Amino acid sequence: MEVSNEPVTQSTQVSTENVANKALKSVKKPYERNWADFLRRLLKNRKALFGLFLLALVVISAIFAPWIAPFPPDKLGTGPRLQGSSINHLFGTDALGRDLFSRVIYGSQTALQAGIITIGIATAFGTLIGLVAGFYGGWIDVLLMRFIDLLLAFPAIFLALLVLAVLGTGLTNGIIAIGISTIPGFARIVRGTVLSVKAQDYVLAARATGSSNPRILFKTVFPNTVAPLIVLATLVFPSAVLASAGLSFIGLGAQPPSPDWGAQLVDGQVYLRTAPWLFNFPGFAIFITVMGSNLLGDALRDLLDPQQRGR
Amino acid sequence: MLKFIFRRLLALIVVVFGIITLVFLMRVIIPGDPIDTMLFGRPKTPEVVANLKAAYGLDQPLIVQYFNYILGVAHGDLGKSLTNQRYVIDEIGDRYVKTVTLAVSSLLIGLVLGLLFGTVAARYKNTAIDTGITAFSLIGLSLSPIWLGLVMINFFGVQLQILPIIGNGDAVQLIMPALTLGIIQAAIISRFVRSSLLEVLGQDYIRTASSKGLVQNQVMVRHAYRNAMIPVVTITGLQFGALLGGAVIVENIFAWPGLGQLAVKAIGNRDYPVIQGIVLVAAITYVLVNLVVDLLYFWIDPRLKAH
Repeated sequence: MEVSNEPVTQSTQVSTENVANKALKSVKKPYERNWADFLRRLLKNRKALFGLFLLALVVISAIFAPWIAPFPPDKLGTGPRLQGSSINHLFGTDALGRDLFSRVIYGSQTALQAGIITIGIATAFGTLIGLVAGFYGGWIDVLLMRFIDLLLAFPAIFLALLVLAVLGTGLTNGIIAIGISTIPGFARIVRGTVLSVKAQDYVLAARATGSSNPRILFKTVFPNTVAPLIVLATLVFPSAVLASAGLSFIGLGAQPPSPDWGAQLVDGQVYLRTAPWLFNFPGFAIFITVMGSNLLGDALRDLLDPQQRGR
Repeated sequence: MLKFIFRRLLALIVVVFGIITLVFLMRVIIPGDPIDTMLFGRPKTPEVVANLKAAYGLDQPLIVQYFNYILGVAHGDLGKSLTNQRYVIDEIGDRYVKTVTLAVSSLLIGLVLGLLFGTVAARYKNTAIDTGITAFSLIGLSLSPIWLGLVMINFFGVQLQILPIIGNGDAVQLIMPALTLGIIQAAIISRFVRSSLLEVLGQDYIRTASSKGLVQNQVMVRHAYRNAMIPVVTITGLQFGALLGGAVIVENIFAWPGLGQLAVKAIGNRDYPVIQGIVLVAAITYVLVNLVVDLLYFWIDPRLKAH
């Protein structure tokens, strides 16, 4: 393992490279190259099944929201104001008489967006930076990794605040900000994997058969980073959902009347004494989403990381 | 060891310079004219603009502004707020202490509960106790601090009426926000304590200690704990960044007078010196905490001193 002379982030590096190495070991095992077999074992895992079930609820809500929700999320006066659960309004109504059940169902859309776009941004930029730094080495590596180390010196939310100050507030910018603050972790893990893959015989073989650098990079090295990236993505997804709700709650992310769960919690705070359902249902929806991805992530880590197995 | 500390401090200086540079650069790429923020709708005559630019040093070349900024930071001068012309360091001062107090209290709660539950779970591995603790920690780390905070206010403040809903930043008001972040932290830490202890308990020297006839609890305390603590200390240092960030969010629920509300207001007003100041002190605090963590390794693992 490479020893960093930048001990601020040494601990992060050690841990991410550990994950990378461990996940890599598992990748090399032939039976885990077999995705059908991997999927079969995943579906036998009770944690994974329960996690998938919870996530399925959220995904189905997001996709079929117009059919599931009895009212449009912004429709005012669908019933009496600030009324608790009833047959017509499963989750009750808010101060404007909007149907909370419909709003919670539609809120799954922005939550999933936050998680998926964050992972997209972090994977795209993190992978590119990590691949280039690890593969080419030398001054490119030093330059890129020092920059990544510098980003890691900022606690994620504060880096996001900095980005929001530049881009301006709003749901999209909030998600972009969270995505940018997640890039360093991805870059580090990809670089760690590349460093251990680079020394393998099959990379030498690819080079000997005359493959160009970019070809080796994307055809031979990149596939090895997929397993550790999946593991990291399962860690990042729930924290992105939480962070996005957090930014919306403090007024920097999704703005009212958006049915974002974080923004709904603001109403919950306003009517804390009289209408606890206003914060309990969106709060529970966030919980289901985060819990589902945590369970799935745990199971994936168990499967992709043989040293942790059986614990 | 001294060599390590020296190199570590040198690296710290470089990182702090990097942080200052990045924070400074944010102002360069920020869209919109800071003068507009300062004028706040007053007429924008060339004279006024020139005066304001001169007053804030914005008429100088970028590189001069950069050196002035570094010099200022070195003297504790983070510039003036664009909205109320107060010194940023004064705006931040008290609030910074409040945010750090909240983060540290939450960390202490998280460490005490996390160590306790993590150890119990590892000690009674694969029993109902372990399953229960593992399930609870999974629930804990899936909770949104906002929801947990609101539920707590509703329960302790509205239903039981034993804790104040609003306050003036005293110790009583600290209880609920610290518990909110602390409980979630405990869930994260207990998982690390459990898996780290289980890893250490599988080692040969533990088997030796057990076969010498030591009681399980003695083995736990004398042989396992110290070795298991290294990853726990690492994660605690890294979690401090998350706690500072979490504090910013949670402060807005409990009206805890920390950096959180200031940050939200400053971003809304495009008051960039204040945002710069907040991000700067948060990042430097985080870096310093991790310096302390690195030095703690020597105390936990005396073998490192030899290197």
